[in-house]
Amino acid sequence: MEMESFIYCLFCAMCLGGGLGVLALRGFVNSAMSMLVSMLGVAGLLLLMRAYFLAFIMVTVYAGAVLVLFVFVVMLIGDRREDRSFLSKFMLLALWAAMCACLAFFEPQITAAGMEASSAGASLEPGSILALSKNYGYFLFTKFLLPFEIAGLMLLAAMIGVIVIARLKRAGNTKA
Amino acid sequence: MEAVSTAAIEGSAGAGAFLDALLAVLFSLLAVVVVMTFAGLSVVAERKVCAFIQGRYGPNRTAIPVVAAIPFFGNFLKKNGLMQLVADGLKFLLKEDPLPGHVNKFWYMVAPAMALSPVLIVACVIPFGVYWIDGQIYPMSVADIDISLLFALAVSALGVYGAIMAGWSSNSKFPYIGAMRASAEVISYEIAMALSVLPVVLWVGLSSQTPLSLFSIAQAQGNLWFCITQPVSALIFLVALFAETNRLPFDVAESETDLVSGYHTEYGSFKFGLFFVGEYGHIVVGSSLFITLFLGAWSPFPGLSWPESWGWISAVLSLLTFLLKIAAMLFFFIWVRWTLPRFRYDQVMSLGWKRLVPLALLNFAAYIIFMAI
Amino acid sequence: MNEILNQFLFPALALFLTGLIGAMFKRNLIGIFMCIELMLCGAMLAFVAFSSVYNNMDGGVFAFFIMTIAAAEVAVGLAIITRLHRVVGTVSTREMNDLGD
Repeated sequence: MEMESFIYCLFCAMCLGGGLGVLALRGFVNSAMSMLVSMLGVAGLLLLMRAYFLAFIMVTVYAGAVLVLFVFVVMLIGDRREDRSFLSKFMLLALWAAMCACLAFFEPQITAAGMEASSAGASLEPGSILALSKNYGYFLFTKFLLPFEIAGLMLLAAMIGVIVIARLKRAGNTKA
Repeated sequence: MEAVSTAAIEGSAGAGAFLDALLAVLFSLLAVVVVMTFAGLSVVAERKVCAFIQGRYGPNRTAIPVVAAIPFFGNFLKKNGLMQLVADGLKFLLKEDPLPGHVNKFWYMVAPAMALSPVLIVACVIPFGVYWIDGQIYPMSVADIDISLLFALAVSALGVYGAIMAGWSSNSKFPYIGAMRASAEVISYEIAMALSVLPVVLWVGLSSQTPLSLFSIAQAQGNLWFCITQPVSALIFLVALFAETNRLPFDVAESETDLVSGYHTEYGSFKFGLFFVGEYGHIVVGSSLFITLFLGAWSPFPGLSWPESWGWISAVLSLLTFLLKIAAMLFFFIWVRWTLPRFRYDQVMSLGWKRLVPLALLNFAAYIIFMAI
Repeated sequence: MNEILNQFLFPALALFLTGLIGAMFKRNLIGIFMCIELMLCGAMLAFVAFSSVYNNMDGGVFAFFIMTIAAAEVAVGLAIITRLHRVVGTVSTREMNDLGD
């Protein structure tokens, strides 16, 4: 088996296995850690798609900060073994397997539809546009400048909102 | 796609597959050996240097029966405590490895591995030296990625999970508090670290196509080391590095006086050894990053670099220079540890967020203006 | 070329559907939230897959924004969950049925 397909299968397995772990594992910390595995798998798939900058930003931001936040809150709340969900675990797994089977079954039709739709040249050769970090900077500051600024404002609003919501009640503070 | 798999074995396009494979194996061994040896040596170095600072001898009695009998060399080893290293290593290996009944067994066993793995992964991208093939210069790293700086910062961000899992799985109050403190400190100082590196990247970006590559950054220091042209960035990075590795004066995670032993309280011989090696390995790898970014990686003096005409002698000398700098940084770390008192936790947090981050941003803005002119 | 696209769309779709199933059937807020994050990851993979196949930068930059938005959303959502936990005492959705009968 070629190295690249082996790595692809490995990252796919990490990604989907981690997702399955989030679904099926009991205990919040265990599902948070399997989400970590899933994030690393997604980062690996991004690497395979030549989006190197995105992959490492994903590890830094998503797996290294967002998930840590999740784990903090989980530990603050306490690691409950969650009560049984609406479907039992066996049913969840069966549903997931059925979903995979559907995907595999419908794949030839999706491929055929895609064949008609694709007209632009496809290129995954080296030097593709996603691989260079400077392209992200260039486009963020020219074509996507407005979303960039709005994202900045939104982050500010989120920060203020978090501080207001999660603030502990102080003595004499009438706001709940 | 084949380009990706061969690019992992850097360069040497015309030198044949055997040389590629040999170099790959050699550099992998180099990365692991350097990190592990320095982590092991720092066990002894810590005690000897601390003793030196405190005005006493360190360990100088340990003697392995056969080796100590070697007339001159044996005595040298014994008096310098180097055989203490062997004794400590054997202790970690041979002591009974406890698995307390109250811990979360799976995470208890996985946490030390999670603490050590990022260290070894980052050690893969550090250029320990240079070598030349057919007049083309190549770094002595396991993988020469175009964005290796980002890779190093990203993977060392994953080191926080080892601490969290260790503290949480121990099912005990002191490790838990230590773990929470350690992880909050690490993620706070990551930001200052990343921001302080940005001026360096900008500077290198003026003259190189791949400014995020550690090799380009090291090469761009041919004229002056970045610790001279960007001292504020170097200072912020150094302070953030001390905090990232939970090293005094930012020792709040394992403050020996109020938290027993922090997040590795419940850990015994081998797993504790893994944490220990992981912590010192993190120091070694972090200081390798500092050396590559600010201290001119393998150049012996600001402005000099090893000439290509000396061939492989120059390559070995560059490696030795790098290792010497790591040793000097280790000494500096140990020196600071035994000199400065520990910060309080709220002081640590306020330093990270309220002082270092604005300082790093101001520094960045100042360098942008400076470079625009 | 389309095999390449499909091979990267398949994990994106599977991840998205996994998150969807989880968000529908999980009974605690944190689990639901984690599955929402999985959905965002799946969508991001799909964006980057198309962007890399058609050699267009829009998908990549938008994936960047997805990451930003996900980070902000996680922060706010977790703040709400923390607050709710303080008020109600649990994160199980079975207990939070005050609006029902």
